[in-house]
Amino acid sequence: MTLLALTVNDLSIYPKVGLVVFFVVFIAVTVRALRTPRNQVRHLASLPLDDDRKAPIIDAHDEGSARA
Amino acid sequence: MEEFVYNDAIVRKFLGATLLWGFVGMLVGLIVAFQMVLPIAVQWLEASVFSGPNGLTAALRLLYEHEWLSFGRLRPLHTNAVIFAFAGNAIFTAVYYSTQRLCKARMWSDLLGNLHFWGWQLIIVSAAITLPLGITQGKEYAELEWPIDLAIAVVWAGFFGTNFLMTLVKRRERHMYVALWFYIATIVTVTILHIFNNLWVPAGLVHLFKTGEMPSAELMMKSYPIYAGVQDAFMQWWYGHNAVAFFLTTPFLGMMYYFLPKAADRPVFSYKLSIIHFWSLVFIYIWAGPHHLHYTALPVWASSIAMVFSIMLWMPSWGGMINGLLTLRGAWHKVASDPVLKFFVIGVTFYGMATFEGPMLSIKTVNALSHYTDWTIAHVHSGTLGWNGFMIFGMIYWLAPRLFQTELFSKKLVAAHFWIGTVGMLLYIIPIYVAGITQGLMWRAFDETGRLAFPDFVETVTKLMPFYWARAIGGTLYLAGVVIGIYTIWRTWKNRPTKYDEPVQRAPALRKEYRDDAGERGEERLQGVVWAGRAMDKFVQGKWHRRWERLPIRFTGWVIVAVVVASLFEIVPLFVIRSNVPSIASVQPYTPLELAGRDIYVAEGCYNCHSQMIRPIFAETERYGEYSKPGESVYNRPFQWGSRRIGPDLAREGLFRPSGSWHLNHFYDPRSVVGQSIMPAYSVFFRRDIRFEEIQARVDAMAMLGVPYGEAINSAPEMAREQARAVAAAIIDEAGGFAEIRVAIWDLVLGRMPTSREEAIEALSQKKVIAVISYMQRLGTDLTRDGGAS
Repeated sequence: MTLLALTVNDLSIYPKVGLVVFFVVFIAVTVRALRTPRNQVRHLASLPLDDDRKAPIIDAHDEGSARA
Repeated sequence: MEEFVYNDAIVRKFLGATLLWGFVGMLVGLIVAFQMVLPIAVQWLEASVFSGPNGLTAALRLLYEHEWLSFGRLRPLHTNAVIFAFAGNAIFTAVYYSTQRLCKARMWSDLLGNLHFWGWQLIIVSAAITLPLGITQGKEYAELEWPIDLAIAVVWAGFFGTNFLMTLVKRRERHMYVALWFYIATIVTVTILHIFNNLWVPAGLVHLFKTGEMPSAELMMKSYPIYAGVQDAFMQWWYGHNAVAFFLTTPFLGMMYYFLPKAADRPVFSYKLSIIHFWSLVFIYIWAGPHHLHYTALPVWASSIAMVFSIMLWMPSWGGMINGLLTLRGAWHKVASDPVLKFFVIGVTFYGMATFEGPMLSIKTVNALSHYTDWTIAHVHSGTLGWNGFMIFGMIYWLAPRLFQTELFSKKLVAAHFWIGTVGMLLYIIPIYVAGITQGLMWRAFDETGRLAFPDFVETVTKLMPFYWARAIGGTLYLAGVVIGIYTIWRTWKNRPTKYDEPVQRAPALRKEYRDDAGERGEERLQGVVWAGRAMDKFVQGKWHRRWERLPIRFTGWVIVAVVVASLFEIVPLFVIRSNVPSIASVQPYTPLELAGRDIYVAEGCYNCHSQMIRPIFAETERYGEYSKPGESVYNRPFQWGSRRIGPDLAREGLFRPSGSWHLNHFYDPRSVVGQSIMPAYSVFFRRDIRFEEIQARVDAMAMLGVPYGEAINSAPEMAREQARAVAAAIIDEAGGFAEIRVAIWDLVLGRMPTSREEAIEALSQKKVIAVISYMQRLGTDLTRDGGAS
């Protein structure tokens, strides 16, 4: 048994194909991201901000129990 | 317009559970941190301060030697509690709160939400009971046994996944915000990981079907994985690493993309970057698992691919981190006064640090030094305490006033939590980084004569004691911060209104037909152009992706494809190509007694401190002997290669330390044979009997998985009894007779001194210690038998 047995050369196709698949996905996603219209991006980015009422943190204990 | 009310009651429940289990999980962590230093401290107290044992030292001993509290059983409880209970409940808090708002819809089913909540808490309680009892699969972060695994699958995918996806389907906001993508990735990937890493054969069920007799509870809970050795190691770290990725990273990124803009009151810095961040992370992360197995018996190609993809992870991880921090552009002045933002800034910064260090540790030459050392522990804790812990508390402090509809009780206390937690975290991780690097360097140090500079492993342990003390103090401070946080939230909750206000929300239902006009100008431009050009234009317009972002089921499908395809590229060749695991003729299945001993080894969680994997590195072969071969592990279900060496590697223990009486004394009192050892004593091995009759079910389950057991299929208990008597007789003879074995050991075994050699052999052969010793004596000996490879 030698270290040679651990290196299986005929498997090199798997990482090669894997890398190609990754780069295809990466390029496709990058193209999609860069081509998104600016007004749409602005709308999407602001989605979390228009969904809730504001409730700023007020220090009830330290500022003389604002609730009282 | 449709009217609806958000279900915040379920969010409040998960928030409370987060705090409760956070305290429990971190308290257990603190106990295991003290277990590293107490054995030597108690020894010193008894020798130098108290002139012998007293009530205090007995109580302290209980903390690390009681069987339910031993390090090997408690450490998995700590990791499971902080990951699945603390972080898990926090994830559910975030998902249930933000999904409703981002979808403009109440969660689809209140019933499923409640089943999810109570089911998950029941799973956590089951873990808290079974792990200290030694009921474990023996695989890191996947310790929970098969009935609990089934419950996790039902609660996670059946209750949580269904409720979440149906909420997406019924949403009133056309577009799915990026946080929801991260939640989708979390739910589907964790489901896949959990199912495929937890395929097993339950030994108790095999016994029940074969004999019709009800097995004991211990046997009923016992299972063996369908994978063995190399393949089990691969599947485990494919799971283990991606548990970090898809349980401790993607849902927290979803949390970051939702709560950070909310807290800063400005949109995320770059939504475009978040799209690239998401897909790159999902696609790359899944490949990285085998970097946990560099230089092991895993084929080199598998760990090399993992290293390449791990390094590629730098890009999306730092893209996300930068996106998070730059969201605060123009709002940095708020950080000084807003404790929520303080927590988020430190959390995101630690995400950046941990995701810089992770790829660095995956580089083989760095990994050769860091692996098995405390460096990994420091890395993990910078991620969990900094990134996960601080993101969770930032979120909780932001949510509390909104959920409890009152002001936060005290901003000063929140600030105190922040600063005490930060100092505690630094005091934890910095000494442990130093400890890890010290440990790695000491293991590989040679003196001028070419011999190991520290041949005695325990030298490399005692050197670390000051760092372990600093870690325990740092952990105490971090937990103190958490207690302050719990107190603050409790006081805030106490100020809640008598009845919560439930404002009615209004939003129009989504129309079925939708026209995406973002690419219309391109369409006009391309009038009369050939089909290929039209298709290319459609692609670059990105309409296909925008369409997915409106179709949750299709989007989920593509996430599954990304995760599965990437996984299959690694899994398929490892499983189908036999040359990956060359067989070794002399490697035989464990005898029934050795198998029973191995099961005890697994149950005690010995893999938490001892590896069984000698890497082909000169310093390791000098210290432990011939490096480990893939073919040596073919009957190991589960594999026990380990990931950390608090104690020495045991892969060749049978060759290195064949003496049964040495092991007997070592299990009874480790410090009586290794002066500065920090291993707990295992008196339980001397009190408890081997359940010989149940060994047959264990052998049958292994045989069902293809282990060639031959005659043991019909006579396992008899074979085990015979070997146990032989091992016990050899120990007594080696000691020079039963009278030479300590009285205290016989007190545990028999309640008195035996009166004859035969009685001594019979009594000793019944005890668990004999099964464990037989396993220890077997370890690593296969290669030296006739027919062994070299």
